Amino acid sequence: MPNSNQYVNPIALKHIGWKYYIVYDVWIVIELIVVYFFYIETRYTPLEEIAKHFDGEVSRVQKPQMFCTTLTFYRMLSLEATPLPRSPRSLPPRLVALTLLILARSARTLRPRSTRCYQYLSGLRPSETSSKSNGRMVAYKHLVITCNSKHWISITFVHRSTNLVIFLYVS
Amino acid sequence: MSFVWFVPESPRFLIAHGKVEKAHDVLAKVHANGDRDSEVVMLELQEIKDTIKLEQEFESNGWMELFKTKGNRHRLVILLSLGLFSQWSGNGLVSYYLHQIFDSIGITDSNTQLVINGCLQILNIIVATTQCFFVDKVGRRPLFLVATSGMLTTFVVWTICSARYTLNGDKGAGNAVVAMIFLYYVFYNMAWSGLLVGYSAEILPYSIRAKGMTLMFLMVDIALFL
Repeated sequence: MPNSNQYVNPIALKHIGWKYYIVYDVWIVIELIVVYFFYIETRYTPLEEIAKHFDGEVSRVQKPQMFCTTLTFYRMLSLEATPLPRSPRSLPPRLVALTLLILARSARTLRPRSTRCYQYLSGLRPSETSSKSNGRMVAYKHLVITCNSKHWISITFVHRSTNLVIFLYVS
Repeated sequence: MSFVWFVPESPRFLIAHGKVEKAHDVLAKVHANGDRDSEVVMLELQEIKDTIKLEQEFESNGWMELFKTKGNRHRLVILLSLGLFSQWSGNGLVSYYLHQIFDSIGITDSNTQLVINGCLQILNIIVATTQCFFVDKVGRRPLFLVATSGMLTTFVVWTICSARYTLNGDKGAGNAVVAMIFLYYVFYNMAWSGLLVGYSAEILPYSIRAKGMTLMFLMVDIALFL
């Protein structure tokens, strides 16, 4: 702790003696009330997820971290290489299923509601990535699907509860 | 130093400043012998672009960020109170003005005062160190609650005993104050010394962690100055 003094204490102690302690008695009662109502439990919560105690499941994204290297995904996905259509709106179901499978395996906390994620991954353009779907929060946000050539497509999004940026490259 | 000029600019920097074409050149040069159409280069470029775009969306964090959302205001209450309570709960009395307390309960011998203070500091180390091992077992909230309740109880007894000594000259009450100081510190160290920084840091998300910690320490210093 910084090397400093408290200037009120000695004066009060000198002049009103033990009666000054009553100030602290009252103050600690206030402390107890604040602690009781505001201090939340964070035990058993991974650091990345503590935000949900404060902000709910809509927790704001922290500075994104890369979730996995591109090349890992590249290698995994190119095994199932499928020629892709230009539009990301019509991703082949097989590809989506595969993507979901890899997502589910990669993220420890990821529990995709399969139908909704499917819809999300295959149907939406970036501008449509609203945070609610049928009134319930979806697992991902800020989804960006980019179709750069006929050979490959990239999918970038933020996983909601872990706030990780996940980048997928599909060949 | 003079060779720094030969190092190509970081493509991440270039993209962050809107020079996508230049970044493309750099990546092509470094990773594909200048082939701008190489798949690897295209892929890297896209990856960097997407990540930076996402990052920039989330990095709108001024100081007002701390007040904007309900969650952050909740954090703020915790941080400010942590800073204040950790210094301003009566422990400052003992830390800086112990001799005045001893004088007021009839322990005027400076040697005795020194020995008691020494024992108190040793107890502090032991309790604060032991407490570390219980943070994950017991949880933060119970530690804070038990510590603060204990502090309240001991401080009330401390007040009563001190009053008895002053009013009636009761020597036993004076000694009881010393015992209460020790007990008070056991409770204080159960939470308020060890969890101060740990709890503050963990409740703050990365984007506002530095700012939040600054405010907490500001509160500590204000409390110490008063």
